[in-house]
Amino acid sequence: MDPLHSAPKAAEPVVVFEDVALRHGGGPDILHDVRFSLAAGSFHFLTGPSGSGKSSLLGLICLGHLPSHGQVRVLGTETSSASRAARAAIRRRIGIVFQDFRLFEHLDVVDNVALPLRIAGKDPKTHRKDILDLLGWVGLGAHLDAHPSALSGGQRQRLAIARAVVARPPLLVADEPTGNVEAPLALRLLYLFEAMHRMGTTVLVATHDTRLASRFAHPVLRLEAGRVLPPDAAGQARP
Amino acid sequence: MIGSRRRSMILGRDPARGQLAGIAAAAVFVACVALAVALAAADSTARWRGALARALTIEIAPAPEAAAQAARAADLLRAMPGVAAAEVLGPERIGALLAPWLGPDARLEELPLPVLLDLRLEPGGTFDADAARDMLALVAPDARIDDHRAWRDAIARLAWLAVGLASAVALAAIAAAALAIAMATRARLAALRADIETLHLMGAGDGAVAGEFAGAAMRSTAAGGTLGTLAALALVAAARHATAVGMIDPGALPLPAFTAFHWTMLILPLAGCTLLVGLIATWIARAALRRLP
Repeated sequence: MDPLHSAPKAAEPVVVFEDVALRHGGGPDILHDVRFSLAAGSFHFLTGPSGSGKSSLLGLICLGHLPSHGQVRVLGTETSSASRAARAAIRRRIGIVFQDFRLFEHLDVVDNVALPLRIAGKDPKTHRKDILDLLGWVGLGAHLDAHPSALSGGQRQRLAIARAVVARPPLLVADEPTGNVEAPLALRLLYLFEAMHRMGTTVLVATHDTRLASRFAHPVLRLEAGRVLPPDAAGQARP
Repeated sequence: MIGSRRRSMILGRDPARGQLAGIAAAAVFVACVALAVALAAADSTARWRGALARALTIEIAPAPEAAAQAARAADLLRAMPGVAAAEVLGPERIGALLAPWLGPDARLEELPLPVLLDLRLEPGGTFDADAARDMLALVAPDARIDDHRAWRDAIARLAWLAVGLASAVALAAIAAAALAIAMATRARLAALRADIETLHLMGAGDGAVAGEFAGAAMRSTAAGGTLGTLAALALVAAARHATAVGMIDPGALPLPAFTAFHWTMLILPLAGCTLLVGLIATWIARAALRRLP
């Protein structure tokens, strides 16, 4: 059986870090002794001061980096030993909301959202209704032909989120998804992730906004000086 | 390539595609004209060599009985299979041949000139050279047969030189274009680094992203190369027309009758350049993608 296209076993967490360290080139360790796991269907916040290595940790989960030490397992596959094709296949099953959105300026709203489907080899035309429903859901139904530069910061953020979830990935990772929006909108965006979580998606949201995170009853992973503190040590009550 | 709804959709249009097409157009034009010259040279020399191979000169040393021997040899040769004509050259023909050296008023009858016998063979005929040699040895023991081998070899060397030079020009033009387009691909990869990294993180395969690059570069090359090919074909057609109506001396510019084969050969620079650009762009893009995990 193809391990990439089978659902992870019920008992197996979606993300497992075992004794992970990360450094770039000959530099110092950005992360070290990192051990944690994300159970299938869970929702976690990842907090920590800027420069604590949040983006690097997300990079390891999204296979943007490979660990310099230890093992990272994502969706049932150990990332370092997987082939390039296998790594690409895992990436297609992860929805990413980038901190800087990374939208494609020459594509309009619909084509930006359709991109993950095209990368997965699907014909966006047959999924047009899903795309339009999704864009309506995130409040961009009136901007289908717009290009990202014509959208406000909040609209771009919602477009980035719609693109991350359109292919219904089993794992959704968001890097500061509320970083550029007002508090009421930030709350609304988090409710979008909440909705994805309720549909069974494993969600990890990195944010420096601990107050926002505390409004949800989800466990918080705290990064400090390149280490992940367990949820309980961070003083967060489990739901 | 990722999807096909719109051309080069993922990476957007290359702002330098016009310049790339221009480079390809110029290079393919030069290569195409050089190839036409090579084909013409190869073809003309093949015809000359063919004509020389179908003509032999028999030389009988000056002697009182030379003329009679030549006449008998000509009669016997004419009767042989594969012989189109056998003719003893009269004094006026010999005079014409020697005029450049001796002047028009040379008194040839005072010179000990050999008797020349011009032998023309039927194209594709079954001339038996050995039988002819045996026969000549009987009727004219002093006869010498010149089969123009030295001339044929000299022309062959000249032909190969012309074909080699023209091919080198064609290859150099294509190589220059391919390298220029490779540099442009590298620059574009650098400019689109962030987009490529995003696609990579979204799970796009190396082949798909490299295919986007190669596809865009090949489309620019094919568009420009087609223009270059058409311009070169127009030039060849114009030269052939000028030769046909006598504006250019056919001897100075020997343009053979271009067959379907020749015209097909002239598509080679376009096809070769496009293919080469595709390979190089794929290779460069894949090498860049390999740097991502």
